[in-house]
Amino acid sequence: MMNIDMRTRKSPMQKLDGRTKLIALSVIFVLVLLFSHPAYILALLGVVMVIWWSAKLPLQTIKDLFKYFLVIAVIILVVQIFFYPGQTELIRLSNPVPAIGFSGFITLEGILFGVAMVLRLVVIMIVAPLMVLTTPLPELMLALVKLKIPYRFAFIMTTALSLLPSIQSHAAIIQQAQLCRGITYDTAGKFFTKLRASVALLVPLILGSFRDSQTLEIAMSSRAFGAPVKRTFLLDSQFSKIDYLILAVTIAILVTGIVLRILGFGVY
Amino acid sequence: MSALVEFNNVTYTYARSTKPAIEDISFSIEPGEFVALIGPSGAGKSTLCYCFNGSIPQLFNGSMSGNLNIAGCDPFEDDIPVLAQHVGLVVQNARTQLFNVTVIQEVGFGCENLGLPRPVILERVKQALDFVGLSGLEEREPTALSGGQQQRLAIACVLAMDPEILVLDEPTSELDPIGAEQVMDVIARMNQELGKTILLVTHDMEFVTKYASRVMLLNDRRLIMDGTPQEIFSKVELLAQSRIRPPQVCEVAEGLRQLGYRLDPLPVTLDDMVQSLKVLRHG
Repeated sequence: MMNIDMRTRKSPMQKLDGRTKLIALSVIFVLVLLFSHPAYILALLGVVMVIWWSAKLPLQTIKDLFKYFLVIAVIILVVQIFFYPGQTELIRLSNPVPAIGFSGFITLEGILFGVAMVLRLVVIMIVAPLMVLTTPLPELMLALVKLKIPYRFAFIMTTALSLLPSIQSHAAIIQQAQLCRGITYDTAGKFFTKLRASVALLVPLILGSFRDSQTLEIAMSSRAFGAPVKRTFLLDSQFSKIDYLILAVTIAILVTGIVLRILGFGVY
Repeated sequence: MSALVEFNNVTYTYARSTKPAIEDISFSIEPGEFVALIGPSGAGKSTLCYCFNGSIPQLFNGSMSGNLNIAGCDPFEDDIPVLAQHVGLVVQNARTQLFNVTVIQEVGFGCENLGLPRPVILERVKQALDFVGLSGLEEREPTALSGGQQQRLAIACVLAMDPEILVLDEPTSELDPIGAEQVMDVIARMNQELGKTILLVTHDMEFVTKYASRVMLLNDRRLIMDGTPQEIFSKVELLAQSRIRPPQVCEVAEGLRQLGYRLDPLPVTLDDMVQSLKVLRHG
């Protein structure tokens, strides 16, 4: 028997309709941009972490993301701390240097703004994989289409995601072939050596992808992609009671958030 | 019976190319025929395949002349999705034709695009997977399948759309012998059991003699021979000029002929050869 039933998954997050997840995660996205106080964003981060935990996703994924993010976070923090035009002086470092926009002292607002920016990016960075990792791509596409996103756009988005592993394996094959012919990918190597090696990898990878994309176009057209009829879907998904409940809570939170923001909360 | 496929003086030149890729091609194919298209690399075989479902002229920027009729459709006028309901095209590299995350999604893709109702799609997917021997792998990732399985999956994908004609461009060129045999078995059964009209581009001459009812030889952009396997493979010298090596049985038979043995018609399969030799021995 073919298993296309979506309700046989392990975690509660996977049982939800794709639309519910898209809407709920979009609301988090909106809220994180709405508020600028670190405490509020930290609270949102807490909510996201609870969702991550309930989705039974490995924490290692977050750690992997942070490996790349750490440098960016430090740069953002330093820039904001030194250059944010705040009022509350904490530490005076030097005389003002107007040429580079440095006021000469570190302000409370600068630190808060820097921390808020970093936290915001952390939330955004964790929310996106939460969607992708708990929703098989066909379900994600169905959710987008049911939310009235044009099918072609939804298809391009999900196909791009689904082709990533194939591009990765193609890159690995090219790397192996090049290693056999003496190119070094030594990560401890000099910057320019690494740069040259990555160009040697990227050129065949990109050219190969272009060539494959033409075959893909032929294969898709051969299977009636773009036929002038209303497309049907093999998968089907309906809202359950839990979906309605989560949507109601989400909308309530969004409305509360907007009201709080209008009343002046969540900013400093 | 009227022809299912008609090519009349078809010439196609790719953009930025001075010489045509195929030139003055004319032939017709009747429903239910199994046609093998053979020829050296660069002869224009793939170009000819792309003409069947309108990929040429619609997806490539080139110039085309002549008249075509594919199952009542005109590739100059009708869109590829319309032609796709009549012609299933399977290309050489299976991996690049598969872009869905599960086997079931992959096979259902074409039917979904045609707007078929869900129960019909499920039925067609099941039948297509049964036919190519991939039942039970519905939830697997297409990229995780073996090369032979991927190619059979690519066939199932077009088979599910139930076209009258299947065009297969070197479907076994990248496969191991067992994988290739399984793919060829599926192709032969599509012709014999489902009555599909087949155009198969291949270099496997043993398979051609075993299953094809007709062979077309394309060389240097032109269709230079068109006939039964016996007719084509008996012209050993002409084949050699086109860098085609006939099946070994035919080479042996031709050698025997030159030694004065009367072998008529020319045996093209091992069974034919055994029969012919029995006849010779017993007079």
